[in-house]
Amino acid sequence: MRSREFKLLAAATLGCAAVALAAPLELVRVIAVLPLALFLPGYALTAAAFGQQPPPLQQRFVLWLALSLAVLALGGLILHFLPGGLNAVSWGMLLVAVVLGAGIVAVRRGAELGPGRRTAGSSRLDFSDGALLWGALLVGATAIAIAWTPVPAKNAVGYTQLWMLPGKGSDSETVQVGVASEELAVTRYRLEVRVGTAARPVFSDITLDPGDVRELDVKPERSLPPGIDVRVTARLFTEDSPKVVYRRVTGWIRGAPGQ
Amino acid sequence: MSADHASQATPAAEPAITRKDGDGDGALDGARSRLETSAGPGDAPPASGGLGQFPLIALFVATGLLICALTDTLSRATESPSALLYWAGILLIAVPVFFRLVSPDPSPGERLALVGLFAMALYGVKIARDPLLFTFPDEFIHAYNADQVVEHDRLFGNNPVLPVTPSYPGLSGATSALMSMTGMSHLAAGMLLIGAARLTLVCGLFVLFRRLSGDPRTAGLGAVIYAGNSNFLLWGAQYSYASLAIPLFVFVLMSLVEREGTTGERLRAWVLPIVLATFAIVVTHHLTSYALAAILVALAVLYYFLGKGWRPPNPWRFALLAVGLSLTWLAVASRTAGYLSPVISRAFESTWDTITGEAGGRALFSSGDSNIALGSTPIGAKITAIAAIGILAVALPFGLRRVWRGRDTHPLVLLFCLASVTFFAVLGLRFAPAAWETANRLGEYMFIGLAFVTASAALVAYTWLDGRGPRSAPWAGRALLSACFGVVIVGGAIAGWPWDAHIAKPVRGTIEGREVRSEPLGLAQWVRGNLPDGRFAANNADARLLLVPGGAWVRSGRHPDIEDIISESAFTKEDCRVNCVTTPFQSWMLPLLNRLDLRYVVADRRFRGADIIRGYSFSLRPEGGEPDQLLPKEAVLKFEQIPAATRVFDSGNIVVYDIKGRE
Repeated sequence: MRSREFKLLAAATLGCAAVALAAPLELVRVIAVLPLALFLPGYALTAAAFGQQPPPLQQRFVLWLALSLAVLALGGLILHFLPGGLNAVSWGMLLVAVVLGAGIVAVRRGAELGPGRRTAGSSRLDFSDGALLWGALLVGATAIAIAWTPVPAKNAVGYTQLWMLPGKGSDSETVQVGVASEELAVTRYRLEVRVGTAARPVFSDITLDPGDVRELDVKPERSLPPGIDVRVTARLFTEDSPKVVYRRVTGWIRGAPGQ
Repeated sequence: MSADHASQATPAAEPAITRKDGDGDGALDGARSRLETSAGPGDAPPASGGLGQFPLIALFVATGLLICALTDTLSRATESPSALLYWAGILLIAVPVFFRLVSPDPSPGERLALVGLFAMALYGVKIARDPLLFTFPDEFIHAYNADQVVEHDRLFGNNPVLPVTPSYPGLSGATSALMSMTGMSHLAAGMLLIGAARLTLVCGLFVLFRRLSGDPRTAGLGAVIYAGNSNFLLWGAQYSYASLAIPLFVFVLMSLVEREGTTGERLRAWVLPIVLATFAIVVTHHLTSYALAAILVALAVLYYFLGKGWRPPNPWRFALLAVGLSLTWLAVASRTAGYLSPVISRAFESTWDTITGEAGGRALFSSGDSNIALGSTPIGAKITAIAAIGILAVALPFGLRRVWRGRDTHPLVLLFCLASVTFFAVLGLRFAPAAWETANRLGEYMFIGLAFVTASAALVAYTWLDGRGPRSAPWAGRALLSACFGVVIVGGAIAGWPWDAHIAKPVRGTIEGREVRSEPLGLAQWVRGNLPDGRFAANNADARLLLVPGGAWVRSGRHPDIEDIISESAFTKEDCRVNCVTTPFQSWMLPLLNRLDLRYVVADRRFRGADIIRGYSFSLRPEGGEPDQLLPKEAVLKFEQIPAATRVFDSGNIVVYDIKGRE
């Protein structure tokens, strides 16, 4: 590898690392990290190992990929034992160090770069080939786009979530009741919450669109004696079946310590 | 020139191709000869370079991928598309590639490009099945490990579902590199990493087979025939440590063989790639490291007994390295023995019991768990899968004969021959209930040898068929071979994955622009937001979703026996009349949960909750598929026997209990 080529390699490596770590857009960072992680380490190591006698292009291609994967697999082990561990900066530094270090060795060994001798008549792209390749790319991109498109699942069975958790904060006399709809249509509910067995239940009418969530805090009407646990029960009914318990959850409320 | 082709002129195609494509391949420059090509007198001379038919084949392949993606999308939309559409897409990817590769026309460059295109397209089929969420059993586990590395900046964390996996941190470490530098998710990072690994695998096979056979045609055919192994399409493409290790394994074999074709400085140059990749395999996957050690030892011994002595290229030093590193890592990852030995011993016991008649055999195309009702495999699919094995079995003797007769046979080729024969013996393990998975995994390694041998057989068949078809259809022989290849690919895929699980199932959907999620996925995301520090007991499928995306600590499976805790119906109070003995729940279930410090229990009535392949998707109405089979209500209600317990979450089929309740 000549000095000029090494400078190009170093510039590309440092550039990729800088963009991967600092670019604001994730897509840009991904585009930069791909060569940095999956190509350059193998490329530089291959040049360093083979010096002035590089293997043929097909073998080199496999070497570039495989050695890059090996560096990633082993690099984590190295970073694990270093202060700071595995993070964005340490990974960036490691990969840059591997590429530049191997590049320096390659320069000293006078390694050759490039795809090798070009053959007569190779890689000529005529119009029909170009059109077919474009067609293939378009069709492939369409496949990817279709796969990533969310679709309605009309025959899926929707459902509703009901939960009860201790109230947030230190107030032990409150529970939080939540309702989330994963139904396939707007759904109307009646939520019944009963604190203890003797108290009257409290009803709430709730209407939720698919994907909606509603949360309510439930407290007893009167403060409980300190340290006394009272069971809370929440039952959910739907408008379509007002007498059938659709969902049921329970919890405990404890009387707050006296002063 | 082999005796098969004595009557046919065999032009010196290889040296000419080598010079023309300009890749400087010195494979045949004065090196010992390998197998001859089977170019017959009727074949056109190889192309001089350029793209050849690659653009046209690429269009076919892309169209096949589009069909598979469409089928998956229709299935996610619960439209119940025909599975034939999906398999037509697979065939449209596979058959044109093989049709072109079996021809003597393509240049080596075009062959390699076709092999890479084929592999990436099949990987695209797997991606199209699960573009937004990992749904394969091991993917959740390794994604959790990667998340833990990113969160804690260290390897060797804890994984409650598969504790051995953090001890092999190659995959999670590599994934963390992409995740931490870019902020991308484990899904995107994992896809990219495994995609690169898949490309390495098939290109490595091409180069390996080319060096061993001296023939890029055999190489291309062998590399694509490898896709006929039952794990290639789906299981081997998942985000898992084996999916990274096996390509590196092939790379080591390739490097060893390439090393032999060189002298001097280049001979030494290959040491670095071999050593690096060996290290990487050892820290990535246990079984692959043992397979590598075994094959290197076998090679070293073969070299010696074939009269080549202990000097290079005898790989005994690399064998020592592989054995030493594997044993060292086995000591470091001490859980490995505890994880693998029960699997291996159960496989042996099950096989022995099946052979001696002490236990019933496993029916083909069935799950090991008879409690779960499965979609049955249609008779046509079973016939295809069996026909695939039949084609490979028929090809075997022809391929072995051709390979064996190649002069100066490489020791690795001898091992390939042995592996190709052993593959069929190992198939018998599929009839033993606890051994079929072992057979499945072993087959992935042995199929490397079988692919090489079958590729040789394909060329024998091509030579025989060439000129025997109708004059109006000179391509008929290639078409017949391509059709056989299609059967091998489809049959292999059918044998490796449940029939009803090839096509995507809806895990997420949209209703009027809003996203809705399947019940187990909804639970996992609820847990992430509301009980992030909770410790859970759950069935196998629910546990995986609770790991990722739930991010929770969860135990599942039979060791400890969480599965029975979830699924068994214990006594109710009404049953406990005459002699109210301690219920099973009280006698061992609750003490086990307390000992493991598992506060929350996920009681899932769906049988699918224990199915690590099918358990993640929406329940379906009859119009959209099979409705769920449910456990009796008592299996859930038994947790209400615990006086302090609370029922904290209810989504219908899935209920979460806090067994410590008011404590």
